Amino acid sequence: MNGERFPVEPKVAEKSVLIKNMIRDLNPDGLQEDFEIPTPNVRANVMNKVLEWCTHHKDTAFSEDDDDDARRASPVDEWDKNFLKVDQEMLYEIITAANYLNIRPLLDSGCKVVAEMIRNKSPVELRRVFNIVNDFTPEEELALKKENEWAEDR
Amino acid sequence: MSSELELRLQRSIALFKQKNYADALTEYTELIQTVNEIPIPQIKKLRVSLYNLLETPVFGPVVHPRIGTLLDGRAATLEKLGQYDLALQSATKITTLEPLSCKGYIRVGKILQLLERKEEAYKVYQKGLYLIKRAQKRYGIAVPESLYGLLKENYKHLNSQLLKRFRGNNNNSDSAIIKAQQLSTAGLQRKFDQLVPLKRSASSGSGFDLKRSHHSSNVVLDPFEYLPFELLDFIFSLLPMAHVLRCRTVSRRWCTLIDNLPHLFEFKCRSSISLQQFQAGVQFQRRITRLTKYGKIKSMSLKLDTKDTKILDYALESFAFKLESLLVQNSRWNLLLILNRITKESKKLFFVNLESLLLTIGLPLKCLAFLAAIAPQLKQLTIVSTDNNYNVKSLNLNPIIGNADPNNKFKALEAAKLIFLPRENLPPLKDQQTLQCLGHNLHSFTLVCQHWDNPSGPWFMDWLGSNSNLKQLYLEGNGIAISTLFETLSRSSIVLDSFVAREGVPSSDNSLGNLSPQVQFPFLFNVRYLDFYGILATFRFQERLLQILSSTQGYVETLNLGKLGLCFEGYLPDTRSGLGLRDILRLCPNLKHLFLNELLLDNHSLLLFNKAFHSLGRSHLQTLDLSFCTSITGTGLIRLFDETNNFRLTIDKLILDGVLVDPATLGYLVRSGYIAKIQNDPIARRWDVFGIRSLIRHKT
Repeated sequence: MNGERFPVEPKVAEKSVLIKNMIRDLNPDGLQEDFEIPTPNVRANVMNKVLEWCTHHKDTAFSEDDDDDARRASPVDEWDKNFLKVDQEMLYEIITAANYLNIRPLLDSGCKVVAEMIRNKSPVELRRVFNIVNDFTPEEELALKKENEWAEDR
Repeated sequence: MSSELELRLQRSIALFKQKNYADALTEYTELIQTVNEIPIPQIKKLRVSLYNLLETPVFGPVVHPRIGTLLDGRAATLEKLGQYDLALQSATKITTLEPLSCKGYIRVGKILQLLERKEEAYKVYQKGLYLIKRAQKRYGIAVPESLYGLLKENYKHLNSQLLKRFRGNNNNSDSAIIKAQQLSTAGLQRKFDQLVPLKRSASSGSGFDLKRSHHSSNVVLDPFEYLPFELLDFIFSLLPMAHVLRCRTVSRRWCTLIDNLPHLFEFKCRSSISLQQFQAGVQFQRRITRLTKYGKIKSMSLKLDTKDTKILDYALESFAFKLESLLVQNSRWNLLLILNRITKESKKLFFVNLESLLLTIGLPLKCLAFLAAIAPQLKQLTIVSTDNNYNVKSLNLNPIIGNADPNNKFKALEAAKLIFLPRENLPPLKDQQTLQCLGHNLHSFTLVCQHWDNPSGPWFMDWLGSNSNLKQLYLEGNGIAISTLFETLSRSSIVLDSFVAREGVPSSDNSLGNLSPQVQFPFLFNVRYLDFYGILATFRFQERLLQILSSTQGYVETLNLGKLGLCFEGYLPDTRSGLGLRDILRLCPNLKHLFLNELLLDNHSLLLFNKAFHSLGRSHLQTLDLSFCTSITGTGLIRLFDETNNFRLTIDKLILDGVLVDPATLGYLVRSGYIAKIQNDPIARRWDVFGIRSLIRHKT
């Protein structure tokens, strides 16, 4: 976006399925050519973070499993957890970038970190954490609470 | 040759125009085949001499200049024939063979839109435009102006259509009006950008920059402002339903957006709940389900821990006709009680649409014949019985249930699972009608820990053998005599895909070794999944096992020989007998998952395994389970993966629970690329604790 360039080795870049496919499309014979791949939606400092992740995980073999339950159940990698201890704007942008670049393991870790921010918090706490104004009348709020009482808590 | 091709191409186009699609398809398919068979050097010559082109295209692979036209014609024909998936394949091929052909992207986009995959179509258009633009700039390639214009036009059109659809969605409900009011036009635009997270045009990239100026980096931000909807759906699906609903009370905006998350439409109530709360839940679910394409509640999950049946009554009365799938989990109820509630006040309720029923309930399991009569469409039936024995006498059973014709059968049933808890001291059951009710058209049958009187008797074996469409058979812990089972199956016309016989109950005739030598195994001809975990392997077992494997066609992908008590060759080097891995690999050339847990294996066995792999020089193995083979050490593992010049064994996963191995050794094996992933829990519990029996424990 800002015209910056990030030279990386293919192994790192290919953590992104989008880029992997682009490289294959642009260079079907696998020639030793240098590529420039524009990533118009990703800010430079976000790209730096994403590349840091890709470099750390360049030798990690992620399961290609499409099983949704397994995807949900697996815990967040400890390194990822520390890596994602950033301000929320950065976190959201990393997630958006991972989604755009199609880097599923990073996307999953990011989404799980956001889910943890929401989990076990009362509406009051959530409003404070996310800086949201309560625009319900007390009656409306009560009615909603009634409506919510049936759900499974596990 | 090529002039003939041009002629035939014209003819195909003519056929297409005359709406003779079937012939046009044949013609196009043949032509594509012909063109694909032309060797590349000749194509290069053709390009120069006939078409006045460069030998190799500036961009993309060397292809015949007409391949794009042919594939596009084929795709168009398939599209007319309504075969969108094939058409999509054909069209996608154009975009890979001729990455700069506008035709390809236009066609792929069109078909994706026909398939209602508009976001994907949008991305395809965008990719095409990007590639072509880049090629124009870098190589000065010219593309046909009219097609390029059309591609741009389609792209713009879809863009505005998607925007409209997004706005439109917001307008057809009360809650959506609130949402629409809350989102400014700019907000909608941004939301849409997030929905399709790609740059739309050169001028739209500024959304994030504008936002950024409003917030300093340490202000906490609302995820709904920042993240695309599909990701929010994933994030909220990670949370329990109660937490998700709690979030609805945060603000109007959160409430509206959460109500639109697709994953919310599974009705899952909590286990202790009052009738009023349940009714409120149903109303809530009805309201938000109305807004979606599903329209009404079709599946319901009732996991309750109350003895009271008011909620069940309410659910049955309100939904019995509509439900396609029902899950009831309550160990205080049993089948008789549920059937009795269904027929209460002599109102006969029918599950006319019910296709899938999962019950986790108490004993006894009786009167399936009545269920068969009221749920005629049932395809999948799973009953997990807990130990809770309900007092039937207090039930005041509706006579209509008990008097149901015992010959009633489930007519559509394809998969039946009857799972009981392992019980030691219960008297054997004599109810044999249950099986007869299941009918004879099962594709899949699972029976676990049923304590019938004489389970190997003809009443069971004859019924089993009569299900000639059976593909999956799972038997565990029923005390069935293995030899009788094999004899029955070999006499039947059953051909299995998957065969699990974990009948490890010790008894005199419970071994394959006792099988008469005349018995053949035609039912295993196509088998892919074989599991003999824990059956008693006696003296002649090895011989029979090899005979079994050699009667398969070699499709076996998963083989479980766990806890068979048999020796592989190598264990105790002075004994010469033992099963050889080489024979197994030879007979199962496609083997992917091999379970050898709880066997007598040692380091010397692993050395012989290594030799077996090398002598064959190939392996498709992905998973190897050596759990609880306690004589194995790191030395043996390193020997197993020892490589020579011509072969190197690599696998995806090694399971090594209950074995103590130096983590440094395991680390070395992973780092050297022999194993992608190792599961090693030295203090894990044994296998028979897990498997399907543990499934029951989780569910109760």
